[in-house]
Amino acid sequence: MDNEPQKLARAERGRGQIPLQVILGGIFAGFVVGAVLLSFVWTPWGPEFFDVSNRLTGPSASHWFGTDHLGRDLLTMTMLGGRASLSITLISTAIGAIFGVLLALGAAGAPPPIAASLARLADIGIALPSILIALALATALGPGSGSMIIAISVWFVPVTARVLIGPARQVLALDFIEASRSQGRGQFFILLRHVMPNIAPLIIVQISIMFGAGVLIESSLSFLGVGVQPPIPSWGRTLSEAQPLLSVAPHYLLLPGAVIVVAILGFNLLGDGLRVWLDPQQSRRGTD
Amino acid sequence: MLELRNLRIKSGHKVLSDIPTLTVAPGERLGIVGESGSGKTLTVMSIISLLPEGISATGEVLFHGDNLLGMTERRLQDIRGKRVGVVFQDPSRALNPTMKIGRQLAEVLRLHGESTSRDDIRNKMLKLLKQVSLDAPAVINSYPHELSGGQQQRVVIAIAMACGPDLLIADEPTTALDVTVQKSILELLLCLCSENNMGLIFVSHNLGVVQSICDRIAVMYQGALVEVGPAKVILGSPQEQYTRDLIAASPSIPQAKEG
Repeated sequence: MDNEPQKLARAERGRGQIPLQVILGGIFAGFVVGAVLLSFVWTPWGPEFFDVSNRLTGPSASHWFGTDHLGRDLLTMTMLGGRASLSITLISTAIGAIFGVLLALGAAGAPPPIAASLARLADIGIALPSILIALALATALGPGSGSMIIAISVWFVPVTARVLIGPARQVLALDFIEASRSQGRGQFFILLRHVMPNIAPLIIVQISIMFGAGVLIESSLSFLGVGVQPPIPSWGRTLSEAQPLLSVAPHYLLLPGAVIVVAILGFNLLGDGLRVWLDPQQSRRGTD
Repeated sequence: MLELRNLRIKSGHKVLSDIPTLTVAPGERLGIVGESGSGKTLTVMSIISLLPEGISATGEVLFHGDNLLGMTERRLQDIRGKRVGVVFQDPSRALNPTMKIGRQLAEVLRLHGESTSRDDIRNKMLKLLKQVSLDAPAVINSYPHELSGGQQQRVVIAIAMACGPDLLIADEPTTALDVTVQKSILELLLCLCSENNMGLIFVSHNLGVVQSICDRIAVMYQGALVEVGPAKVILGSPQEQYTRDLIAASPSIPQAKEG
């Protein structure tokens, strides 16, 4: 019976209506991720299937989005290609989130000289042009998914840190942090237990934005030929194979290009919408 | 129990607060009054070495004979929260908004090794919350924003009291609260102090509030200690002009006389 008023209080705290961006972004991103996951159990044609007599044909009843230069089904190739793109993005985002958060917490709360150098480190990282650095790294380390993950993460870590340092410092200046110190807490504990949960909404938003950026960088690198290597399919490589055939088979570009657009749009919309929806200022409005 | 000697708080070369000597005996309730910016908060925060960045304190803060000012951070952490508790001005900001009350309270108990087993901690929490007159089981599962200001301040007091400190520092604990709630919080503090023979340093700009709960009063003005003495003496026959002005400015103290 004690639960009733509490439930009410929680409902009151509710973040209100879900913004349209979150719904749209969720649908777009969910559609792409769903299609890629579906490829593990079903694809219109087998992954090994090709029909040389049917090369570069336009959309038809048997090949909804046409075939590529080897006579493979484009829908199948796009669904399979997403595995590499999304798994590389997922791993890079996870690395970016974990180390980015740690870097941000360190830059906000470590002893002053260390904090300052960590903050500068993040500044330097963010100042580097992402694609160029990824390109240089992927070239130096040799093409492949491993070097792409490193290349993308190297850029994600400072970007995430830079976004979170300011809010982390703001949280550190709040009264309950000093209250926690007055209870005998050390800085390390305060950062992990008090600061991190209070910037969690921003971390979630940042993860969503990283996902979109990851898909874009991965596709760009693969398009440039330093990403995933044949025979593993990927969206960016399909695009680069389609590019010289643009005048002969314009349909070739359509699906992989559209999928990249929808995926990036979806994750960015999701990130933007979440930013508004999870805004700590708004969710704390109910204080009193 | 607590003795401040030649305590000088500086920001660079600027002296913000200068206390030649000030003592608190066990179980004694000392009020520090003065206008905003007179260095009251800095003085009490320097006791547990929690000064803002760039501000340093010199001199001695003797707590049971140990000088807290020269102490390592690690040893200070054992004293903060365990032997000295702090109650802040604005309870709505002194609690982590993302954590339930129970977890915040349990943390202090666990940190200072007061309790180890789950049941033990729960029992201690219930007892503490009951001590501050809260409906314990409901409060434990609440987030800070689900409580009223008065309830939040009671939680802050419960956290400060969790490990049975010898000294409680209350920095304007009633300023952010409704007048009706203020009185109950003051009564609670008074009652907790006498029950546990706990020393209290009560910082306020409100002489009326200080008079109602303190044995001794220290008046501060622009970083300097103007006058210290038993509450009755300070209020009845103030020696310094500033104290007289302060008393004259407090509508709640009718017995104050000019001159």
